[in-house]
Amino acid sequence: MFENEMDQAGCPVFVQQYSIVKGILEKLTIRDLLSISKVCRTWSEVARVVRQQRKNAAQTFLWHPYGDHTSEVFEYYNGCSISDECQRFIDTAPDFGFPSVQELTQEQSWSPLFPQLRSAIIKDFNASFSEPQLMVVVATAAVDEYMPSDEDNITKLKIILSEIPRAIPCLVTISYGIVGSVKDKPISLEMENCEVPLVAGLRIPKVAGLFVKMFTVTKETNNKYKGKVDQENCQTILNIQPTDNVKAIVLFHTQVQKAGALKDAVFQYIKGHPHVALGGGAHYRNLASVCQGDFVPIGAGLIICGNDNVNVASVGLYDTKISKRNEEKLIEMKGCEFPDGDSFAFMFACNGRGANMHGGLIGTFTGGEYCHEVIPSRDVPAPPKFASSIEFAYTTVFVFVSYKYPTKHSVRS
Amino acid sequence: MPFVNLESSDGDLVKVDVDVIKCSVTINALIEHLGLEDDNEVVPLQNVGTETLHKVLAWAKHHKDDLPSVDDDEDDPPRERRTDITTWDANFIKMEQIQLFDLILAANYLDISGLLDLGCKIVADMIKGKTADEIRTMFNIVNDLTPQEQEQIRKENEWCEEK
Repeated sequence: MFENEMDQAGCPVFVQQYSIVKGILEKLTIRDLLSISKVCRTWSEVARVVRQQRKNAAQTFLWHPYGDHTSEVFEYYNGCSISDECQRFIDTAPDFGFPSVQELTQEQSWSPLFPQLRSAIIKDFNASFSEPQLMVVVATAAVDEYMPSDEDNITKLKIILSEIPRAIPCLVTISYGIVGSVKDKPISLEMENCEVPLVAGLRIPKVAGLFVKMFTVTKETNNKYKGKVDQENCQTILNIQPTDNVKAIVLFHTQVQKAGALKDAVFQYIKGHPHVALGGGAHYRNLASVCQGDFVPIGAGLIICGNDNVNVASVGLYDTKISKRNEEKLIEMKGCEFPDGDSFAFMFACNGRGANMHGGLIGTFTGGEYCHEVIPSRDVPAPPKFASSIEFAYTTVFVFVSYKYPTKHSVRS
Repeated sequence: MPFVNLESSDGDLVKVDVDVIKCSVTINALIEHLGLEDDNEVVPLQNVGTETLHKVLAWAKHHKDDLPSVDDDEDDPPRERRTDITTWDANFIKMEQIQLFDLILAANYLDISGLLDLGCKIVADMIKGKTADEIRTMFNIVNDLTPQEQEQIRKENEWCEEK
């Protein structure tokens, strides 16, 4: 029997039981796991498994420099708290605030706090996780005339994100409001006026079977294909290769009237591939995709490809209230049983909330949404008839991506 | 069959409402496999002492109407429900370390995920912020890592250690 039992070395029995030790270590931060890897052989091995698993999950982050969230600057990475060093900066700053745009653009004149904090944040970022395959960042723009311009916001965003887009492919979009949720700690940010961009981000992990790439459409590309998009060239516009096993398109559209070719390309592709999920939204003012430090202000999006382990669902809720039809859709979505931790989600909304709906969710408020509904438990949907069939208003669109392999214990080997 | 008799490792019999103990995957499976139809049937639990068994049952009784964890509820964010320790649980889990460890072992053996999760959270809180030495002392663990293994771990962690 186990009751009050100690093993020969005098330690409680549970410390050698794999499933219990794993249950305990899963609740600890990376920093604690580093100490644990030095405790003994069993714990070291379990810590390694837990760390590997954690790295293989999508992670969301939020940046909110004002208000009640001030003390929680760059929050919780997948349940891991910020470092002591970072915490110290925050605790000891009597008037923690961001410098003006002039200060931001003149690196020499920054307040002494800001660069230190930034470097601590980046160190945290680098220390906690392996490199993701892609980062998606949604940020707010100031919305009234007293606030800084879009250009100022882009400058600030560049500085806030600084080194990250140089190391990792990064898609950044700016909208009026953002929605974000941090794993294990439901925080949602919504529409706000703010001098400094509020940022919600999602790191898409490198895991077997999941491949996510971004595409950008420049003004030149748009003009070249304007009114001439067909089943062939739509793939060129969307950066899709014939070998890609496309599961979904996530569209961060801008200036609908100026990027017609992009919209047409998405319509043509979905028409030919009705099993491919689509979700997205048009951003009122600006959209910027950052790749190797460049901002390209026109349409952009993600192509989500995957093997059998990757499941994508897109669902649009078309009314301001939950109607019976929407309720049925939500029930079907639940039936798909996408696992938390091995999945992430995007949201695009006019009327809608939902930051707490899913573990790793980011979203934006948009001016018109795009959707082609694909729910894995249903039959393949009919292709859209017209380009306008994928456009909606007053809608909340979700794109859920799951990448869980059915073999649950494969990571143990 | 509303009741089942559980026999602790100390030989004590405890009559339990099946509805209460259904949270235990192990006992559920035993009941199904053995096809216990008689109220007088006894399920022997060789790994759980009487004191611990009563604690397990107290927890199970309080949580018997909980929704299954897979069942998400729109009005109640699942994250919150899974991460927060309720006041009842917090009071319940206040006990001597040795009793806590026994309870965790029992929850693991009986496969009661909610209780195991609670126990693991408490132990994780005890470990938070401690050094390897402190953790070994806390649980009386012998460091069986060879110097070569220790060096290997140091190298692997080097990239993310505080400098």
